[in-house]
Amino acid sequence: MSFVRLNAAAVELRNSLRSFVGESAMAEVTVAPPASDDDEIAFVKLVSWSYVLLFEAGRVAVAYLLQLPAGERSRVRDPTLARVLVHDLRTWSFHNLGFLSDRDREISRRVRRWFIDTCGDCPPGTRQGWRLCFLALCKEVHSTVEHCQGAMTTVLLAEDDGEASTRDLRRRIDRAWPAVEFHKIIDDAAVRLGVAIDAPKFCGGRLTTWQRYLESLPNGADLESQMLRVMERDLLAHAEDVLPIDGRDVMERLKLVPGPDVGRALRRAREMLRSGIREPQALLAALTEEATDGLLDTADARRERNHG
Amino acid sequence: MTEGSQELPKPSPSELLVSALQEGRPVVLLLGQDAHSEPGVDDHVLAAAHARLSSGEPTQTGWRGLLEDGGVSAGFYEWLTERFHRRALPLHLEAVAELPWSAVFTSSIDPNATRLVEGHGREPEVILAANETPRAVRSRSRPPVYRLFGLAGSAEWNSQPPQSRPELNARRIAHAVPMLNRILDTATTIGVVVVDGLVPGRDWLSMDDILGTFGQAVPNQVLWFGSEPDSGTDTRADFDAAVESGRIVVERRRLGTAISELSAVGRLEALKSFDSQEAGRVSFTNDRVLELSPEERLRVEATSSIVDDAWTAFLPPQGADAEYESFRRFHGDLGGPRLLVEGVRRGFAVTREYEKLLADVVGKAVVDHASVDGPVIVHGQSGTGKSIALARVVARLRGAKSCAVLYSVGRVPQPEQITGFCEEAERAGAPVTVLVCDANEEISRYRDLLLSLRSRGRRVVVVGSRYRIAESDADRHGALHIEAPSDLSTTERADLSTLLERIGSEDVSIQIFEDISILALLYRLLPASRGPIAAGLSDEAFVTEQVLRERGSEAQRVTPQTVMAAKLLEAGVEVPQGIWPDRSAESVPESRDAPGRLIDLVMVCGSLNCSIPVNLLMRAVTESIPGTDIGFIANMFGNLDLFRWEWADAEHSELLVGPRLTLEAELICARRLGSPESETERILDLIRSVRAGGVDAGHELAFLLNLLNRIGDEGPRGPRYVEGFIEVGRALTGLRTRFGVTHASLMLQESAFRRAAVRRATVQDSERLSLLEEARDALQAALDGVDSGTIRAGRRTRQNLLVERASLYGFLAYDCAKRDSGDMDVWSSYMAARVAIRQAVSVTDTYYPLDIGLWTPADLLEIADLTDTQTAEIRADIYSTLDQVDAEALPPKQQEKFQVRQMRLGGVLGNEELTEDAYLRLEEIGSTAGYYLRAKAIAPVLSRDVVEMTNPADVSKAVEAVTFLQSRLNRIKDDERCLSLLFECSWIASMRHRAFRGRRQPLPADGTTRRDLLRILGLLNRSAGDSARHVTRYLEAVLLWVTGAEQEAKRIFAALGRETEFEDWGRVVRRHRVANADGEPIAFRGRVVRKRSEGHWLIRVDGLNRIVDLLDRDFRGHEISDGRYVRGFGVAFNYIGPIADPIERKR
Repeated sequence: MSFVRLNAAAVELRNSLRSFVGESAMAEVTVAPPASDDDEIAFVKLVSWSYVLLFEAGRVAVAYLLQLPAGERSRVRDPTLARVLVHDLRTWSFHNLGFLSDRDREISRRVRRWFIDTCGDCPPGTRQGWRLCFLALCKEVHSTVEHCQGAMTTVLLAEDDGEASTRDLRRRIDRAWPAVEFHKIIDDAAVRLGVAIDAPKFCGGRLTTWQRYLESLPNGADLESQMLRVMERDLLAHAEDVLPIDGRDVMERLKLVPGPDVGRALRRAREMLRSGIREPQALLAALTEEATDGLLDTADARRERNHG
Repeated sequence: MTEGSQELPKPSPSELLVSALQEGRPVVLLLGQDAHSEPGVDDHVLAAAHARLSSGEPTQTGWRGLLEDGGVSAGFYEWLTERFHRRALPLHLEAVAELPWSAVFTSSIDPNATRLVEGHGREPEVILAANETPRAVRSRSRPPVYRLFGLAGSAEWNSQPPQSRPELNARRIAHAVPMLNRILDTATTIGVVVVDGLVPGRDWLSMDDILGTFGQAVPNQVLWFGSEPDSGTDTRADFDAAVESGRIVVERRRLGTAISELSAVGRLEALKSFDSQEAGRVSFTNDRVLELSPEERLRVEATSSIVDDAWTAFLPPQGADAEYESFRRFHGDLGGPRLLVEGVRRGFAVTREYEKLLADVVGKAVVDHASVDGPVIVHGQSGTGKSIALARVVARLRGAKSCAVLYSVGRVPQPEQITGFCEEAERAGAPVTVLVCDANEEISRYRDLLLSLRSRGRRVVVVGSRYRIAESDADRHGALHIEAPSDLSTTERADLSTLLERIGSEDVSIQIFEDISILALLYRLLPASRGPIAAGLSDEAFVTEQVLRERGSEAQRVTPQTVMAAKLLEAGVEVPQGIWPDRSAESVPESRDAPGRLIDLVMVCGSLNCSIPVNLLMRAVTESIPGTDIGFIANMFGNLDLFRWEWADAEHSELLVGPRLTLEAELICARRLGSPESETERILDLIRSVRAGGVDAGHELAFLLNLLNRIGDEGPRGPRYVEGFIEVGRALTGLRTRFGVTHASLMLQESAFRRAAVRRATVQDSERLSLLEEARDALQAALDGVDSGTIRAGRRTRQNLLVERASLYGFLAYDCAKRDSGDMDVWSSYMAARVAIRQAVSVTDTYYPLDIGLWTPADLLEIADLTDTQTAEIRADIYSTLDQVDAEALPPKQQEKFQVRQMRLGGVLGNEELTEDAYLRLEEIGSTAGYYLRAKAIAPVLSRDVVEMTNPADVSKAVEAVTFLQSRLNRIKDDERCLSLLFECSWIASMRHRAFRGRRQPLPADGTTRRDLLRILGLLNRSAGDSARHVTRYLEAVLLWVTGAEQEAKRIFAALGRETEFEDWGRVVRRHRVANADGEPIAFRGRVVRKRSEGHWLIRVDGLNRIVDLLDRDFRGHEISDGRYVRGFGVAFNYIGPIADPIERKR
């Protein structure tokens, strides 16, 4: 399986989707395609290209079509494997995988196993090895693209319920807001609530769950106002919990050494913050006062109590 | 509501759902047919179906509309199935699929609905008909999915969806409603049922059926998402009443939307407990990894935890408060085995001094498992740190990744359940599997488990716990035991003080710990609200009881249970209220009412270390006091510290309730009940409440068997309950005859308890006989049921039934003699006992049936008025039985029993010789006892524990006995005793050693000798019929094999292999081998034919041209592979057949 054939299949899928579902059904893949097929650079480029195809340009449509039967184009091979493989290869190629987390270890293990099974080496040590891996990945991704094309023909173009399925896909695509839409809403909300945040950073880990919430809202719901409600709630919770002081401030002011006492003092500071003391200096002063009165739970205070 | 108080806002379904998930309570989904629809937007499959049938507007009639106007054709569902497959899971249902559902009930016929509980390692089990029951009633990793109306596309007639309204009604009555009726039992009284996608009037499931089912729900139990019934209808009124009573809580949003929002605001984090990604890998130091299939994992984890790498993963540091909380939880025993191990790894417990010895012993056993013959047992009183010591063993072993570890708390697994794991572990490179059982069980149970696994060739070490064993008993169990002392040493106290200081516990100083036991110390570490020492426990129980009582009455005042009650209240009528019945007029002491009884039941069982299945507990209380509403009881227990809740297994299939500590339970029982009689009454209440039909029947039976085991003489509290044994036996019979609780093990107990009661002198003669008759009826019913297949029983249970029957018949014979019932009656009773004993001996190689075969005739000799011939018969039976006992091969406890029995027999038998007169009389009446006794007197002494018989005097005696018996072969050819003696003596005469003893004994080299011995053995086994012993059948097979009848030999080996699997550890012992005339093993060579399984090959032996087994592990250093030539091995035999045996093994 060459890249040329894979690319041709992907273009065909994109054109079909655009014809029957809409212009936004699948975006162009604009990353540079691999120029050769027997070196590491070509392989890494293929991984990037495949990732963009399956997870960005075809994020909604490919995921949707993979759920559907592909009729005569169904292959014995599981078409969903390519997504897992491409995801693993991209993480392995572009991220610094540690070995402390189970997930990192698992990804590393799967990738190594795939390389060894494909060319007998990990990473491939020869041009021939890279070529074998390149072609194998092309074949894997091609099976996914083929499946999607088959599902299009079988389901979306079916006489009796094809239109309903197409509407369903269209609806999902409409709901797949880009991250920038969420940034805009959260920026507005932050200004309105007087909370200073870095919108992309704040949205980072929350985007997936917001996206899912958006997708689950019923037809006819006011999507923006529903999203705003949830996002404001997150924003307020965040604002309430961000301490304007840190452990170093506490250690310096209360003369504490690193240890559980610092954690206790910070926890107490958070309670004070929630009770309305929001300025850093006021918080530190209140903590100092409690420590002086022996009300703060520290080793000194406990020792004092035991002796007393 | 009282004046001035403010009504609290009702919790929303979303909140209730979150709290159920957070607390790990069961969460059950009831999914309607409109799960794929949204308000105003019909499921497009439904729309297409209506379009195909031209059956009108789908929005109006929904799925019901499909069956109007004559219904649908046979091919319709095939068409519909294809449409279902073409439909993607809607986005809102994807969120639903993320939750850890315990079970799903659905009226949808869409085959893809099962996908809601797939993924994340889950394996749903589809239930299609009312007569099917899932393997796990509720389970997050294998949730049952009840398809109330079948499955589109199903080929099975009873799971096809209805095609017309009459069929719909039939399906509804036969399957849908009975299945739906399980929903509340599945959720349990503390779980919740979540309803979604159910649009009243459009669904095949009618609202009447749903509301009828939910009529027994407790407040806040049913969380209804989405559409409600139309207003103005009767259904709506009933629905509103259910909502008003709080049983149903409504949220108009769809479930998927609610879950997505909860997820978006971070309320559902870390709830996906079905996520199995972190589990499943067991790695070893040699870089080998064991990865189990889900099926194997599920099988093992039904009884034991697989200690995989996640157990020893990096522990993130905790802040001081979190650490203190974890510490409290650890010592409060609030987590499962895994949290116990985690707590040990976090250093929440001091290392007691005896643990060093334990670690050494276990460490050595891991290096060389064969060096340890029995289990390693930690014994000591409650609260001496046995569980922590075992958890530390687990943590250490897996921390070092030196072996595979299974960890079982509260039960001893069956060998069948874990042998597959051990085998996989060995294949993956584990040198040994250590099974850590913290079950406080009899040592014999650990030993049986060990030997059973070793009989399969598994490399296993068993480490168990047991309550303190008396010093005098300590050496006779064949186990390595390490005592956990109840007092702390100075070092241990200092370590504990340091630990508490580190954790930052308040008001603790070293002085507190002077002169007190560790149990008291542990009490100090429990939450402050708990009474500090045992004296406070009774007060606490009393307070709990009061709280239960008050909650019971308050809850009912707020929400009258019936419309009638509400109306009467409105009208100002005094309606009896309260969960607990008003018994004030009857002057019932408070401790005897429902809350009091509930505490009693938990504490009585808790003192025996048994936790009670919650549904059984509720049933016991309500059955004892009619009129109690069980639903409300679930709300009663919130925040009550006196109880501990735990799941029966990792699948969360049943909730158990018990006390905090066994000792606490004992103390509370002593204060509240005061006598064994009162405790027995409570136990009987529980026994009588067990039922076979509920979804939790399996757990109830398991509980009952455990309870029975513990109230017996050998239970943790000794003979405390012995006065109630008769009632216990009769309660069990009542369960069987009245309520259909039919279980072979329970029927065994029916007899065992009666027999134990009969042993006591206080039982009247008349009652004794009727008790024995009752016991016999129960046993016979059990055996008949097992044989006819109407009662399921394992091989072990059947053996136990046969041994119990033998014992019972022995008792009856003795009783008959004692009552002086007449010669004929006594003798016929004995004959019946003898047959029963022979049957029992034939199915098990343990000493117990042989013991019965010794005491029954011995007792008769002592007390019965027997004739000379009868006396001779009985003496012959005793001698014959004695010859069968291979004392060397018995476990130490059985050996000791045998020694004691031998001493007693010495007194009974004396040295009386058979006179010529008596011999002639016996011969005259055709009895063979005379021949046996005469030959016995001639033969060498066989009851000695010797293997070799090289003494020429012994050999000549054997020859003489053979000559005597051979000359009377025609007369003795049906007498097992004589034939057995003849065979033994013939073997000794030829081989100079005992036939059935020792290992790798040479077989006769001479063909004539082999055939002669085979002929006698054949006669012996034929005369025994079904009662032929394993060892004689084995030797017959061996002799057949060496004399050329290979097929016949294989047939016997195959049967023996099957029958002794998991039962007889000696089945793999290589007892004999092919030898030359000098008794030396013959060296063979042969070519490996093929691999039979991992590590197991077949080899064709040159010269013999026979194929025998070959094990990799016997030929270390040889490279065994297909076609390989192996030289210089012998051929040995065990119960499974011939096997290649390295000659180097020769001693």
